[in-house]
Amino acid sequence: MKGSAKIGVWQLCCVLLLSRLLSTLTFSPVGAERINSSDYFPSVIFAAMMILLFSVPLILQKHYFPGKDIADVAYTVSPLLSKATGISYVLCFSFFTLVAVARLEMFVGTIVFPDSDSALFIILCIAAACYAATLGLEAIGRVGTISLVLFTGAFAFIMMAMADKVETVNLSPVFYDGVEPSLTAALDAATRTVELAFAAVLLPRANGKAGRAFAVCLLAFTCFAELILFFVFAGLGDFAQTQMFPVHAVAVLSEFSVFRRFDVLLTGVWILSAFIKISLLLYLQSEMLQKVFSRKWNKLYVLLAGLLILVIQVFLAGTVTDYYFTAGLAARAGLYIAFVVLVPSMVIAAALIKRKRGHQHAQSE
Amino acid sequence: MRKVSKMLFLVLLIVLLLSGCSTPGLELKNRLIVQAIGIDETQDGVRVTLQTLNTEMAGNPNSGADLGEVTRCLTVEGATVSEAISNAAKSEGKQPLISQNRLIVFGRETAKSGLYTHLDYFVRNASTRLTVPVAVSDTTAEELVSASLGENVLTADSITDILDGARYNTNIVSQALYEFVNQLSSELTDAFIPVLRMEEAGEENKISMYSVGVFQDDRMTYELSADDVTALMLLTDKAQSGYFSVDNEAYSAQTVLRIKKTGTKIQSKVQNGKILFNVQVKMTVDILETRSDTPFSLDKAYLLQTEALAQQRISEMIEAAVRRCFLEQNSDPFGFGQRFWKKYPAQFKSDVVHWRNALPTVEVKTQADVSVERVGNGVENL
Amino acid sequence: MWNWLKKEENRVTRSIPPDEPPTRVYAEIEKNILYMKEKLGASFDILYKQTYIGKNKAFLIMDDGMCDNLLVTQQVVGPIMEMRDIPDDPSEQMAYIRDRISSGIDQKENYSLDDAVTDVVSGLVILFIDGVPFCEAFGVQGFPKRAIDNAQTEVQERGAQEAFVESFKDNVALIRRRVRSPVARFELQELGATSKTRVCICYFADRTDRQMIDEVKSRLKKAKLDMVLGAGYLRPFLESDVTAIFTSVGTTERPDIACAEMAEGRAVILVDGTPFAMIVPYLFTENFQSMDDYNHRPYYALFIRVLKFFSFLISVFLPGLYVAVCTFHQEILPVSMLYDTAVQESITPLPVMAEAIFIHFLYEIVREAGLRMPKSVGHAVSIVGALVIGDTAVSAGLIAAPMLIVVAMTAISSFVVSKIYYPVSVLRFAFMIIGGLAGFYGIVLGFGVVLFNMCAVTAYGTPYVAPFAPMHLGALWRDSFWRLGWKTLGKRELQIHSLEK
Repeated sequence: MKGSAKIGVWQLCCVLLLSRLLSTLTFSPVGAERINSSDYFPSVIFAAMMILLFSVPLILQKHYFPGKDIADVAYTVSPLLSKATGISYVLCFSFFTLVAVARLEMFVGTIVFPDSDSALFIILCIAAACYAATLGLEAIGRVGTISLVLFTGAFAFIMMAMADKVETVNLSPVFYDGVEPSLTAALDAATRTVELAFAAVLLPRANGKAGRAFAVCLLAFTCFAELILFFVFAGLGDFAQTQMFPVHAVAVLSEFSVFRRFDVLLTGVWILSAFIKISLLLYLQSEMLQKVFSRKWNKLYVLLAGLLILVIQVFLAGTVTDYYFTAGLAARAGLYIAFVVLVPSMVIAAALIKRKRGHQHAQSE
Repeated sequence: MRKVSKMLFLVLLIVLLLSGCSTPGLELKNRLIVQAIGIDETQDGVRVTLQTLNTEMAGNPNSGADLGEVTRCLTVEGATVSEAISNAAKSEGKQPLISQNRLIVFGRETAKSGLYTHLDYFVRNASTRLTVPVAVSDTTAEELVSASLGENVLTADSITDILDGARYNTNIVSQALYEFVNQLSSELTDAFIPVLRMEEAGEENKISMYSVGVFQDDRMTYELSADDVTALMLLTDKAQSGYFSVDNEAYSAQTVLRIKKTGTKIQSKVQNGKILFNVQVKMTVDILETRSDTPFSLDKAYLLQTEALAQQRISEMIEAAVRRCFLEQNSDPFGFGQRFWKKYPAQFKSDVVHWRNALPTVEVKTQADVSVERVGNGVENL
Repeated sequence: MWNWLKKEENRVTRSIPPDEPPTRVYAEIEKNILYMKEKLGASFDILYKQTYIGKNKAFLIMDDGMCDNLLVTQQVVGPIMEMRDIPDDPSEQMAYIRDRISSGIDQKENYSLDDAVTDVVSGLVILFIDGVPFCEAFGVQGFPKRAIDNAQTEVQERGAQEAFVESFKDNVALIRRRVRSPVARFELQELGATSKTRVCICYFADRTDRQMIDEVKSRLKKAKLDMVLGAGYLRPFLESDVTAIFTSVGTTERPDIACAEMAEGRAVILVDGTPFAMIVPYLFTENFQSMDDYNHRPYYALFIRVLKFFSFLISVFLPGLYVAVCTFHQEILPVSMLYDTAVQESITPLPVMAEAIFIHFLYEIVREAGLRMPKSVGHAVSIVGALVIGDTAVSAGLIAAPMLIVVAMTAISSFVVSKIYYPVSVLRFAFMIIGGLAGFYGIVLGFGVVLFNMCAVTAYGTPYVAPFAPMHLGALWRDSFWRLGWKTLGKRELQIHSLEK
């Protein structure tokens, strides 16, 4: 593994965007609060604003501690804090990996292989992700770039193939039940944006103008999510609300020539994106564990993280099949804000205070 | 580390290879390829009729042996649709593959007693094609699905061909599963699907579209006549092409018109506390045939009269259909409620609440704009 | 288990002896003769001639088969025997012969006896004079070699037809003839403890990254091999550190392609005895490009490249996808296709995965047999293969006809991208197995793993999947799946190192 390898900020952007778009694909009205279809459109804008708000610690980190990831920032306060931050991030990433694997398992078990035991598929996925994670950030970045192109292409094709089924009459009036449902959906979407935590670790490893890339990323996410939701609700109408994976249902609608469904295309990019996300998460866990323990055992860390996920998912799948499905929005939002917003905020604040004191001390001397 | 990874690789390989012994997939030869599903309610549950492809040939197809019938019909019963379909596996030893299903048919009595309970299986099953057409049989679904239309003729094929006729004929309606479910679950629009009838014509049977059944909640309550279906198609903006005729008394001629292009705009507004819909139909037609006892030239006056008569006919057709549905049946299969709800959500919330209650007071005004584009290759009628 | 395997391997192999320190040429001729005879042994093709030049004892050694006897007589032995007014001092004698007597340009002084031995077996004539602490080597090589022939593996419709041959000097000449500029550099290295194979690194001095050339040299130096009998022996030492599925070292048998690669800042490596040149760094997209693309109109190049890319996808994924679709995802097939496939598959005794593996394995056997056999027998093998697989197996109901179509399409497609035939044929089997075990899910995961493997490769600072990732729009626009016309393309030359991460 190339520990110090750097990637272009646009590559990082592609990987994070792909990871976020995967969460959009897995959007399920069953798990979210039930709201009218058109309320989802403003909710995406609200979600983008919330994401911007949640990324304040990240912006501060980039501004005051350029070239340092969150564990390094914590190290400026104390090595112990660095280790504690590292461990909290490892736990955080482990949880996100578990969520990603569970969601993938749910999709595969529901849509692709409804009659089969999914243990084999989880083993395959984690084994492949472990291998991919050991290849390092450069490989993940490059695969992310190519996959984002494939993702966009597949989506464009599916959208074109089902465009004749889009009817705006299917959409509900906006804010029919007030703004609250939109805000709820926005919070739901924003708290699925765990990529901010990824960026706190990966941003120092990216070359280029991070601010512009972040803005483009956010804009791309907003446009993409709006487009997906439009096709889902204008195409399927209220039928979308009855489906576990409405985005997949849209792909089932697409027809071209003698081919009566193109969900296979979507399934392909879905699995590929999930695989990349899981690989990235395993890589991130390894990176953080390297900061906490020895740098030597990077591949072992990946392996251990993968094994942990495998054991939990295979043996406890019955109770934790889908965390977001079982956990309410409040619990999810709390967890998200605690780990993705509060922990880095506190670390940065402590580091800034220590730096200021250091300056004052130096001036007085 | 290297050793550990090598050992893990070996373990993975063993897991993979061993799992290969119990591969979860079902090969094509073990699948029952379902082409049409007919559902009839019985006293104990449901009777499901499956039209399947006969893939087990009498001999090797490469040696020119007799291939036998292309399709087979299978009738199974169970407490629910899924149970009945899974019972097919018991008798056939093959797992039904419903992803290739091309038609879902319900018996008339089943449609009258409610469809929600039977649709859940299709909505929940990920392999269902959402665009599969749904129809009602004039008698039982079993009769329609198992109808023999001739040697090696797929009933599902014939029925889907008939329903595809909606592209050329405004008297034919085709509803996809997801559209039907959408309408069934909507409180503002009543669902409608075609009613098909099988008739005996000599040795072979014939299937044709009989009417369009309209549902209130999930029960089929009444049927639409041919003119009403045309109005329905125009009001839902699904009409693409079709034919209608107008009688011109001044020329004592009947003119058959072919719809080339049509579009409908519906605007809703509230006037003096009443809900009013303005329907604007814009249509381009060609004269297909003129029938008269006395020859006459197709002059400008005749064309203008034909256009005016066509406009009048369409307006009457729409208004009559709306009247019948709104006042006689207290039903809105046209989607007026949906439009009003979308445009005036606040008013809907405060004044309407239940669309069905508001139907008797709703006013619909139709304005048709028909222009004749071509008159064909003759300048006068013969 | 690994240790046991290593021990077993050690039992049947021996380690390559380390390089010994060179032995200097002695001033006493007898010692030199003894050393040379000891090293060269009693080989019949080594000729020794003892004579006197003036009063000094002299000794000539040559390899009969490696030298041109006429040249030896005309340029070395004849003039030495006939020379007059020779100085008495041995060193002056040697200088006199070198400067005034021998008419050849290819001459060098050897101070090491080991170098002298290598020179003898390389086809040079070595002259020792008693009292001189070095020997003179005269280049009079004349060994049998193959004439320049048409390209066999990279056949082109338009453009040059000649290909590299085994003699690396001829190969260098083929490149030189196309690039008559001093910027073309050809640096020599000798590899192989026993074979002493000459390896030539060719590059353009004005545009190639010097660091890259140094790295190539150092990597080649690290190649501790006893024998280097082909370019393939050196390939692993030039490849990226990641264990890659596709090689990051290109090969070509065409001098025009070698020149084009050098013009983009790459290094071309010629190995004596191999009619193929190696190219570093090499990108994945180059597998879909050929010299003909640049001789045809750009739109045709685009068409052909897209065609090749789809052929690549078909040759890797089609059998796996067919297995996955027939086993798991029957919903993908249109009804009519599904019906025909189901009817055909219903009569075969094997599961689809086993059927696919069996038929592809059979195809590979037939292909390999046809390739290695003499041409006349090869045709017979093809006919038997076609009859057995194509007709009898299907008629007997052993194999379904759609499967046969899949095999045919796969086989033909894989030949369209012949540069990566070998990894593709292995990958195909992997995808068949994974498609049968885990369906489309497994295939996508497998694709992901292959993609990761490709993306992890960075050869000499250039990512293997460039210009796609990292995305270089400029390079993509210029020459990737499509290429610009020569009016634009010719204005500037791509620099491979500009695609660095």
